[in-house]
Amino acid sequence: MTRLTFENVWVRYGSGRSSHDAVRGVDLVVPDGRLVGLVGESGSGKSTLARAAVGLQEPSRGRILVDDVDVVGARGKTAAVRRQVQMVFQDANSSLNPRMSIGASIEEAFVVRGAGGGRAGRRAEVATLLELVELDPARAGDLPSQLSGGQRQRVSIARALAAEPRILLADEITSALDVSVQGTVLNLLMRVQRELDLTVLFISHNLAVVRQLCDDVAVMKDGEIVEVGPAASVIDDPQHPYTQELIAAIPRVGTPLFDRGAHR
Amino acid sequence: MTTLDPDTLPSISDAATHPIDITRRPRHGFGATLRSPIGIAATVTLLTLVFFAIFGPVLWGETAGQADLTKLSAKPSAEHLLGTDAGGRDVLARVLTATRLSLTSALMATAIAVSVGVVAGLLPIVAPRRIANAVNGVIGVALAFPALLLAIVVSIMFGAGLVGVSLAIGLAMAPSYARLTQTLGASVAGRDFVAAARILGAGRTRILVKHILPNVRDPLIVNASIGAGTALVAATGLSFLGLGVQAPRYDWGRMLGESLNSIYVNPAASLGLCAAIVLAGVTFALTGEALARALGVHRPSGRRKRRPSSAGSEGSAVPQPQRVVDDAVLSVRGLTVQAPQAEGWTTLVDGVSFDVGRGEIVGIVGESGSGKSLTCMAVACLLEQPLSVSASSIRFDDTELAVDGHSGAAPRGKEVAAQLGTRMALVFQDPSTSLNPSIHVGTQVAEIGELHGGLSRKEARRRAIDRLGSVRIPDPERRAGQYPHEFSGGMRQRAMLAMGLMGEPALIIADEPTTALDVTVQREVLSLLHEVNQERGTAVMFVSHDISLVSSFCTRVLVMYRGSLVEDLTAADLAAGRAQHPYTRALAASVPHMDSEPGSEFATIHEGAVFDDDPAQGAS
Repeated sequence: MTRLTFENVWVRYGSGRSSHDAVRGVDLVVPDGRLVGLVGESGSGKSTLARAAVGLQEPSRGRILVDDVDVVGARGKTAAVRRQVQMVFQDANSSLNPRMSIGASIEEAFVVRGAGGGRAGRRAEVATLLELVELDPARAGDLPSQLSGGQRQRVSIARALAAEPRILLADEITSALDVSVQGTVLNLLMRVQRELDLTVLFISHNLAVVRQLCDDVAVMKDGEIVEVGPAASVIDDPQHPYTQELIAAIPRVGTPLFDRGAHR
Repeated sequence: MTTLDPDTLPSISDAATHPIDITRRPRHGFGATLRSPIGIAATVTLLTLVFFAIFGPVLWGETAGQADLTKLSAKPSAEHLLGTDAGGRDVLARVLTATRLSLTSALMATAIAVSVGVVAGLLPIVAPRRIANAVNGVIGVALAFPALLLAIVVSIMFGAGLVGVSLAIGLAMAPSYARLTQTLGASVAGRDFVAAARILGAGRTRILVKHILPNVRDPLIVNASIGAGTALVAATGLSFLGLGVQAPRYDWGRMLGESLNSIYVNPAASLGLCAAIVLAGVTFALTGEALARALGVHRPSGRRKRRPSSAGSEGSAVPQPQRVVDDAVLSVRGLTVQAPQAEGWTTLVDGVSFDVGRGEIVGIVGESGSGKSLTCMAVACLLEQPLSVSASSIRFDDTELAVDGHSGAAPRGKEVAAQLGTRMALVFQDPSTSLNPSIHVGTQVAEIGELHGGLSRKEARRRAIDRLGSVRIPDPERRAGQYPHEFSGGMRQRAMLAMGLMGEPALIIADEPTTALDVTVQREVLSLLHEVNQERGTAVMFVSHDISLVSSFCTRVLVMYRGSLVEDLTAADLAAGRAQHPYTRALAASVPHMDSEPGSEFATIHEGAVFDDDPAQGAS
């Protein structure tokens, strides 16, 4: 059972007068084996919250628990616990080392952990993971530049999975992709989550995607969570005025954004 | 039926979405570089230099040591091509022999500079903060210190001689390499793949060796090569001053110092030495340039290719769009955009024809690489070399923009430029790059009025404030005096629109104007565009990848796929599912809807799918 809990988490950027709280007292539970969506506009602090969970950003206050272990400032044994939380980034152009073959990128997780049973064993593990994300294992030697955007994002997922995570943080993983490719990556995430029984925090600004993909959703605004609940019910029947505003602004096929000739 | 290899698509799509970057090919490769003029020049000069460095002392070393006491400081003769020095020794033989020593000190200095620089530059990335700050401080101070002065001080400390000179110059040059490494390293260290490695648990050393070094290596190599030329000149200078190698050894610098005494007796000696120094310096610079080209460190200037023959304009009938509009503000016929490749040309926009009626809002939808942005840029005459733009006709507001079947940013009449400046407005995707960050927003908006509207400075400013107010920027008078960074993303986009409204635009071309914005801000910007359209009757050409947005904002939608316009249909038809072309249908189906079944699979378009098998739809 692996659960990710944020307890009164604050994250501050800068110091003194120019400081700014990007996350302000967030309490959020991502229950075991659930897909939780985190939505909000740019600057709402949703990415910062994810970066705090993997140790890329130190919270100024609060606790982040993987099950019952606080992973804030993790060292030694707790660092190993925190490694159960992995992250997939928005832009696979920047999240894969352009000078490293995709196989070596995935293999790194095994090398770092000293796992995988020798070179041949690690190669086999990499091949298995590539197959899992529906890529030809023969392409392990390819550089990221030889792959399309969607394929690169699948490699990023494979790399995160190589660390054998229990919790996966997906930060806008399809917002740099074309809509026709987006579906493939989302279906992959959905399948992997079910097969490996992962706990997933899915950060997105696309409410339609969150509604279809996630079990629950949390809406964030100005560093605070304003509404949490089952995805479909929150999005179909938002309670908080901000959520309502957010949903009303989404363009829908067949519904003109503005009435012709009836402006103002 | 033409099938594109999916693997080639990323490069085409990159070129299409960033047309300005098209000349920046990642790498030319060593083979291609070797065959280029700069590569040939670099190879020839480098081989010459290496030859003399290796064989110079062997072949001419003995001659160089022989003193002919009957001919002291002799002028050039058949026997001594550059004459003799004060000791009666052959100057040419000595110049060639000294190549080895001169180059050795330059290369040793460069090696020291690069090694010290790279270590000092990368240390702050991995060391604890306190040490990092100390190293940064030392680098900063060292950079502020004049390098030549530093070299002289160090060479005095280490004593004259080959090692002293190399150390002095190496240490004097090290701070600039340290700063370069640090800057390059810091930008790589901030990338997501380094973050990903940290999350995986990779240690500092591993991150440095596996992730940072390989990505900063190329610019460092290029700089080292160019820097070797500087080191050579500096080493020569120190030797010239007498701080370098000491007798009986000699290098070019020491010889130059000695030859000056007899410059009026035998100028050929000094000139020969200068030629050798210049040749060596040029060699290093050329090698650096060639390496830069091969490694793709910076943009090659490249020769311009001849345009491909203009498509569709030679006698053939003018292509007709799927839907002709009677009162069109813009009529495009047979627009083709091509980009040069190593072999021939790639077609990025393929014979596109369409009309935009007065007061219409026409959307262009397509995925990256479909050519939608290029189409807009071509219409606005903003595409430059090396892209080739051709069209049978591009008629905007009763002005023909295509000249002899070609169009582009080529110099054209002032009237046409003024026409484009006042009657066509542009709003781009990224408002943070389309405004000049160092000029007040009001001044930038007013500039259009001065430039194209013939207004005085004062009038232009007054109108700019008025327009900023009309795009709902609060307190426009005060806001006009602010810089773009003081504006939010949505406000910058509105300022861009205000700029467009300085004239009386008949057409606003909006290329993904809200893609970088949040949905709530998107709504504000679109409502403004809609208001301008309704109140002034301005036509809008709205480019987006988002088919739901296009169908809910526009009256008519053009669908582009891999450079071709595959369908031209009304927004109502699109919304009602009456799209004819299979690609339009697939695209519409792949958009997640607010009423999809939760937990169901997402619709996808298979990566290898080909949609141009329906000739009836005009998808050529």
